Amino acid sequence: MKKMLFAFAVVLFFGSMSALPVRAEEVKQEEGFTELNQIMVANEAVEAKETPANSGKTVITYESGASVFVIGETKDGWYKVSYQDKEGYVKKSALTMQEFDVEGIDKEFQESEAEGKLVIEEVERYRAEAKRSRIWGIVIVLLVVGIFATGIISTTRIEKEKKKIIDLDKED
Amino acid sequence: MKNFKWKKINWGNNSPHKRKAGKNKAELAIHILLSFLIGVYPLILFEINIGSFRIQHLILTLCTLGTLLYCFILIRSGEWSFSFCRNRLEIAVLMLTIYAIFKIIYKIIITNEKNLISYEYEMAILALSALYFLVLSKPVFEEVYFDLLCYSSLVVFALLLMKYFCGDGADDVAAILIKDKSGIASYTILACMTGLWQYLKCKDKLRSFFYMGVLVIGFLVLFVNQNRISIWIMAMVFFVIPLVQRPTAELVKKDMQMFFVFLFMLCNMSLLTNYTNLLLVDIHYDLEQSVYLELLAAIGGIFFFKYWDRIPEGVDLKRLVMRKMRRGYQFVFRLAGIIFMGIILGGNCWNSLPDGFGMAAVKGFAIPLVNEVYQEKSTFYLCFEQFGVVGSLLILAVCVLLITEVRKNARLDKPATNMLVLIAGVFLIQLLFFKVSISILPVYWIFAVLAISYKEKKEKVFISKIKFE
Repeated sequence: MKKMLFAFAVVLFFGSMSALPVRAEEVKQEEGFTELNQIMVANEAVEAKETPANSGKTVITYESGASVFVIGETKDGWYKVSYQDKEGYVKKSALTMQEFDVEGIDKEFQESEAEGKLVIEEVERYRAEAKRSRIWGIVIVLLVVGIFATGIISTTRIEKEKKKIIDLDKED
Repeated sequence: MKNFKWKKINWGNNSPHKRKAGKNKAELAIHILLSFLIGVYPLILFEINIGSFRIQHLILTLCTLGTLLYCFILIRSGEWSFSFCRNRLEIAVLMLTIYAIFKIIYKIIITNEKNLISYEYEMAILALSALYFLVLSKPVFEEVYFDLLCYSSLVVFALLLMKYFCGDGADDVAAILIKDKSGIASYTILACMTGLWQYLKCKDKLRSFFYMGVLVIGFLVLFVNQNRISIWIMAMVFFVIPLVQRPTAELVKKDMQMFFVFLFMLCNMSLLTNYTNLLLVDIHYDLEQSVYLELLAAIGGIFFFKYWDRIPEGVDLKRLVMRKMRRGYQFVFRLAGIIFMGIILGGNCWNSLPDGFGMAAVKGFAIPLVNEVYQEKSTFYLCFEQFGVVGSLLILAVCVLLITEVRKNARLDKPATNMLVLIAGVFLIQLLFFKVSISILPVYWIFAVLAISYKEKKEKVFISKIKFE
């Protein structure tokens, strides 16, 4: 019993010890890095480096005016950026906040919504017209076929009656 | 050539047995040709060119000239004979044929750009001349010709209705007719006239439903086509029928039934075009004018039924001839004719009418009619354009001589002949206003030639006068 208790205490001690560095790393990250998760605009053509240093290897290239997704900001004046599963570091001075014309965006959104509605209405109208055309086509065909059939049936009936009369005359 | 005479061509052996057999073969060939031209040819509406020739002209020319050649072969072997140059009309047709041949030779030999020249009109003249001599050699009219036309017109009307109500599907099949409004008008008038005649003469109830169906669809196509001249002509036909036929009460009743159906449909076209989206063509009928038309119809109906009520009950309508009503029809026909001519001769003066009481209605009625007449190119104008002065004068001479010959053959006791005379008259009137479509031109021509040559047995009629109080 005492041995078991001792073993349990040892496991508990080592387990708590192993978690400490992780938390420490996490604290370390939080200390040097501010999360932003926003889109910024590149002032000029800029290269994102693998490490926050000018001598680092280039991983991503941005053109002037390109939108850049900024994950966060480091303490030493670098932004951590991301593009297509690649991450890199860009100098703060190379990026500026994207100014959002909220009214313009709203207006654009409304216009695109209206256009979308119009397109849907057009498509519905075309569907309704196509359905109507098909129905009218069937009605016209049935009407004409019906009149045609009436003519054929009446012709055959008249011919049969004429034959009957001729046969009766022959018999007489 | 032995035994050659101007009037009769008859070469070879003259044994009666051979002549009887030849007559049947030639008769059969001509009957097949006429049936084909009346029943099948109007359905060839595709826009296909073989070289510089349109398929309609090619088929027409080949069929008629081929049949003529076959008949000539039968003459040569002494099995068949036919006469020509008996009267001025035949001489005129022959001269026109020779002129057309010279024109074709001139175009082929003298002009360099062979592939770009159209021989359509010359081919049409040759085909119609051949048809003339063929029909003249066997002038037998059969009711089946009218029935064939009714059946084939159903198919054409179905295609046109698909275009009007469904918007597509008929463009490839009926391309030639759909583009040509005056062509549709000329086709529809003939189909409606034959349908009307067959309806008037029909005794079987089921069959009369068939003719009524053809007429109703024909009227709809006529109104949607919106050729005002053709609508006028069709309306006048209803009033002319009791003049060219014996105006029995039965005939008058049926004629007026269909006339009121015609008027009813015409008056309601404004509702169809203005208040529904059923039609996919851009046409417009004025609501105000349809109201005036309905008022006129109501007034006409009052006069008609006032006279009709005088017929006592129990009288056989098939044996009762309405002479006074015939005079009434004559009056209405002359009045309508004078109004029509007055409107056309008035020209653009109708625009300057003051906007007073009823003047707006008169202007709304007259001005579109005048505009339509002036916009359309008449067949005679086209003849001058294509054939020059000589050819056009020959065509005019043929038309005038046709009228003379037709008048000789018209008799009240020959109902079928009189109907053919009416068709010939409508054909010639149409030539004054618009071009008749090549799809229906041979059919008109066949009936016109039958109108001058068909020797119908006269109806035996016993007349006794009855006076009603």
